[in-house]
Amino acid sequence: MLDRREFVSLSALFAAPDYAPRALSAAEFAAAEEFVELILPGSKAARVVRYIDLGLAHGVGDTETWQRGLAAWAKQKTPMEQLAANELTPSTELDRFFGVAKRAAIDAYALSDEGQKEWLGYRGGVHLESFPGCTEEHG
Amino acid sequence: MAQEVLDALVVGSGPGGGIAAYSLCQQGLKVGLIEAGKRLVPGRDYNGHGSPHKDWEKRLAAGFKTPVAKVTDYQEKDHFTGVGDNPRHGLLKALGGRSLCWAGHTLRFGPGDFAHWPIAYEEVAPYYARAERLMGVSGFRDGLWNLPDGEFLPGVPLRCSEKMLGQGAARLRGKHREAAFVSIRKAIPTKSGAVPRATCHFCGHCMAGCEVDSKYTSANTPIPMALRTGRLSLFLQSTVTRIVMTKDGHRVQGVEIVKADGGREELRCRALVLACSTVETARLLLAQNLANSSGQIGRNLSSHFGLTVVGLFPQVRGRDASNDDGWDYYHSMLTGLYWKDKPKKFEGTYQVQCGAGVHPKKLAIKWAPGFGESLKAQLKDWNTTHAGMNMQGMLLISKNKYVDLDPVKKDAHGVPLPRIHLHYDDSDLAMADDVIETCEETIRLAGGTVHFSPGKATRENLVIDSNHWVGTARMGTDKRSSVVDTECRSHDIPNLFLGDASVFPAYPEKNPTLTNIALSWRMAEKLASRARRGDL
Repeated sequence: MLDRREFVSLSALFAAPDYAPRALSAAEFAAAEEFVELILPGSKAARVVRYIDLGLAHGVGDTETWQRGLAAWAKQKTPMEQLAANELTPSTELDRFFGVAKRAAIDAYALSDEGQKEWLGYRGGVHLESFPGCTEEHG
Repeated sequence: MAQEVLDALVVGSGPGGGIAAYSLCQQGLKVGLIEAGKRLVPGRDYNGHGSPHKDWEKRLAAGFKTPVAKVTDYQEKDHFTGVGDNPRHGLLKALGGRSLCWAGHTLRFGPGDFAHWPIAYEEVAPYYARAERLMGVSGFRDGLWNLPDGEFLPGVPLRCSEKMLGQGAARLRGKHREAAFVSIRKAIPTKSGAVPRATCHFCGHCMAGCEVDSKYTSANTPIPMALRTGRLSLFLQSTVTRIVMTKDGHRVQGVEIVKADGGREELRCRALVLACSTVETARLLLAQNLANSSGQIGRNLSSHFGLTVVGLFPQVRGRDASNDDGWDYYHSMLTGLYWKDKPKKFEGTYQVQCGAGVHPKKLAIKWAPGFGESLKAQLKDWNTTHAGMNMQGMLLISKNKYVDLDPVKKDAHGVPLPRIHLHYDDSDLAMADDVIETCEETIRLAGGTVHFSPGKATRENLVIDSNHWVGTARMGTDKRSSVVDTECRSHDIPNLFLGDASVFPAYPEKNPTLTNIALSWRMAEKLASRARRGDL
């Protein structure tokens, strides 16, 4: 029978996240998840930032851009509406980071099972005997 | 023991080399096929079926930067020098060469195209038919005079936004423009049992490499057939570094190869077929200044070039977009433009490859303004209702485009790297402007709106097709202005033949692979016939 200390220790093991960030720190990872979730709801469940962090650890994207961007966001907490309004004419580091994070998140979310099914309604990637094409009349 | 002299050596196992090796073996010749790369196994070495998220860590650890295992992962890097307007050059060293990563688009050149060649359409047509039967080409019979129908398996229907573009093209015709909108034709069987390969299952990533080997490649069709004759010797991971000439310099005696272990060997042959690619064949000949009394090797370079216009069709909003995979993104094309009505502002013509639908592994539209649920809804709507129109224009042959040798850079074996010079001519820019205007008009005539357009062509926004280079050793009847005769035999060296698209003397808007295969098959038959007559 487990004593209390062993039980707590085992519980912590099972409760621990199954992914340790490779490029970002744990705090940066959590902040990134929060930021990206605001841009693209559903990203957290789809583990979008895990995908991004793995890429950063192998030179896909620039870790420093993420670190500086997340630090700027922690300080300023600029509303998303304002960041989105500045997207095409970015003037601050946080403005530019919004664009970087958004592009990376869209890519990663579209590649996830959750993004494909829940966002895009995709049911492809299956064996078809024939391709039906467009079966509806438009025009 | 005297060294074996093979009847023919074929260098390069891509579309032209593979069919040449098969045809020569079938006609009783003993053949050696030399390929610089190794054999790749579909499904193991490339497999687009995988889950990008699940495979990501493994891919990154292996040094790749993209989540899906594509055959293009194996393409060469740093293998040429580009000069001018961003030339690109695809080179895949593997058994089957670039037939592994082609889209499978299989279009005959038409009688109007061959009007610029020293041989007529009727001369090549029987080889087209044989190639189509061997390759298992699927398509619809469209009855177009300059895009002749072939021997087709059932075609694949269009997606909704592509059908809308078809309505736009019909209205273009109503305005007296020469235009046709047709489904693409591909060397991918849609009917079980037609060819001894898997039937297409419509997973949508042909160009990434077909993991079930349904798409025709040299590696899955002619090379195994050649091996079954018992007359083919395969030399894999063997790079040709030098063509060995007879002492008098008049004839090819063989080639020198470097093998995977670094060892050098000389292979002997009665006839040599170079099918290394338009750029690499020119490079090999230029490196020794062979077969070049005309001074034309490397000249007359052409490819296809393009840009993209995107339209949105609100009429198709709400359709079922759950599986748009099909057989890759491009299912259709706008063609027939300027076949008869010659353009005033530029030379040549173009076709426009069209695609549509939601492709999560490669979203066509990756950006929309805003954030949150509205961003997600907008991106989904745009991808669902869009159609992409991608120009494939004939690059004008001119003195501004050519291949020569880099005076400094060499490969690992000391052979100079090729240099590709690309400077778009005013005619190219005028053609691209015409494409933009035509695509925008087609979208509007179909009741759509233009979502993206470059507006105006510039040297910076044009993209060269890295896989469609042709013409560095053109065919002709005058040895002063061409490199090979109408049998693709060198004017200068009687036992040297070319089996790739370097021999194209002119280039239409259509994809080159079927014509490369048909010409190489024809070349091999002529070569074998000469060999039988003792006339090499």
